[in-house]
Amino acid sequence: MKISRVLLRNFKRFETIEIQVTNGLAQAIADQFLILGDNGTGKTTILQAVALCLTMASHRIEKLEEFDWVGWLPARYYRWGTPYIELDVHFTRAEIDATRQAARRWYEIRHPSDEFREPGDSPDVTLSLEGTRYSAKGGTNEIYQFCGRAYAANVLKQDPSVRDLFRDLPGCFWFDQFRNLASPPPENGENSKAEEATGRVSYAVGVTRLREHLNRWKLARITTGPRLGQRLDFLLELENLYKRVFPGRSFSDPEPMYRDGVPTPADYYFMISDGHRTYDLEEMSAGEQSIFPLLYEFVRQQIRNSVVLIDEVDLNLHPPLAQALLSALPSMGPGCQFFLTTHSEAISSLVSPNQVYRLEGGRLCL
Amino acid sequence: MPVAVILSEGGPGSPDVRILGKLLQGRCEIKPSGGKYGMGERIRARREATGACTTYGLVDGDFVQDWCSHRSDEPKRWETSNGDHLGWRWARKESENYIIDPTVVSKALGDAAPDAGAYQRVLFEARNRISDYEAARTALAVSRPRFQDLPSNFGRPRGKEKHPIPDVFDERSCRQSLRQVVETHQSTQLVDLSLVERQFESLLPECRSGGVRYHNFMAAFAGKDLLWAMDDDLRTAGFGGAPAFREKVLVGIASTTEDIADWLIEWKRLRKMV
Repeated sequence: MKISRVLLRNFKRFETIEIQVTNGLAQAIADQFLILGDNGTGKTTILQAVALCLTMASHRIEKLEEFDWVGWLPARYYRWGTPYIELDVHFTRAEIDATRQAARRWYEIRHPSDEFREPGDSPDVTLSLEGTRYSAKGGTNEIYQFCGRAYAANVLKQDPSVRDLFRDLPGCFWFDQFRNLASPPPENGENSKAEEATGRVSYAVGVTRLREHLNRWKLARITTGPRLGQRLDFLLELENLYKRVFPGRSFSDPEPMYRDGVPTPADYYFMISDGHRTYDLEEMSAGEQSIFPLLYEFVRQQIRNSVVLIDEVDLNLHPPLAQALLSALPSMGPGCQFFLTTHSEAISSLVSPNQVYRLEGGRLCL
Repeated sequence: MPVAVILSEGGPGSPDVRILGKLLQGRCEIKPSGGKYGMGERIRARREATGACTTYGLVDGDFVQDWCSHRSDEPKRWETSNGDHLGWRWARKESENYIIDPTVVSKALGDAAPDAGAYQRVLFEARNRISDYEAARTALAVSRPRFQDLPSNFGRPRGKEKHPIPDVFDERSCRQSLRQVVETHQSTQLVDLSLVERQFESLLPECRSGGVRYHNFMAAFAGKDLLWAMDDDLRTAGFGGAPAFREKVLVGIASTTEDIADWLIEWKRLRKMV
């Protein structure tokens, strides 16, 4: 799934703005699209609009209050009139087929007696969100084209084989500028009431949870070897991506925390080696902490063929690392379209000038 | 000392910078540094400012005077006359020489790549068309007094970057243009026309069929010239002309999940050197 045009009206600071997400010279939709601008010119707002529209259409959220982006104030959504977001979205044949397969499985398992409503097969769909009403030119079936991941996620427990479909199922993922090790959401059923209300957990809780998940993968590899199959691959995939962005570093063996009782995965540090010494996940540098959640989510959710929004892509990164991340993005999410914002020349200098949008106002330094 | 920064020819978003960024994948920072002239000074200034010899440069191969001792698959060490290591020099004339390489085109464009045989033919035709012009360009380049502005090309400016390239490439036209270029610049520098013409004559056999430069045209001829000489064919084949084709390949390079160091021997060697 890729977006070729974004139109916003009455959305936060924008009365009207239209952006062609294409490389005019190459005559193609841009795989990496960079939004530049001074602070306060609306870079994050554009990402939020894209994410909100796609997330509502894909049935991931139903209410504005559920939109989990730090700094998002649903109470001010209608402050400047009824917001309108319009996206021109392109689907590949493989994405359409996978979505239809996922939909069929969902109906078979969850609604066997209902009439099957097959998702559309339009390669180009214009999706709009007016207030909280979303629609697609062409009809309801086109809306279902955005729901592939929701169909699959809903029947994953009953039919683990749908996991294979995720590689071709389009979705929308975002990483805001406040991402850290606590950002990755919990696996099903793990979220507390407080977390459900706020959408976020404390840093300590988030890190502990992430460490526990990673240690489960790691300990499984040590104790049971290759029998765990899928999860083992996840850890290997994560480590390979990590090493690509941080050359010379690797995952090391877990270290016990020496607590009383029988140790669980929560009682081990998740260790990383810099080639000389080891350190725990929580001891990562700020730059590593901003990248690790991305890598983890790409692997855990098998993000492919999706729209990925990364605010401040160079967050806390030294210039070579920022460039390493940029060049690794296609490998992290094959077939994905990346919307990026940055204030870094290290990033902007490596992107085609035909795939850059400069917001008006402020001081244009890049 | 490790390499922390590489200054590259070209501005932000230029082909050189984009290729290097993908190739070196964060092993060091790639910084656009404009033209090659003065790059040595900029490298020295950065080394002085940081107190460490960790900034290097990578410059175009440019026209080589003595081709016989030139290796076309390995970046050359770039150093001053007193042995100060400033960086490296691409083995090929310029970044477009890599962009139009059949291997790179095929890998970068994937399913959208032109038929390999047809593309090879178009590339060979371009080579044949510009061979005398490349001899003329090389003659001008090697006759240029150091850091003076005797241009090494002539013709009508093309595209957004206004790359000059003539409409007619034959020997007679090239001789005429050589005379014009030298005459135009007699007021600012002394260039002996007869020396330039002698260079041209000695280079013609090397650039024509059977010659060493002709044989190694992917490195010895200017990639931009080859690209523009393919303009009509690329347009006919649905690639939208020379600039669009170059951009498509660059986008393909940026989007690939493959390690592009595996695409060309020289790229692998540069990665290793850095």
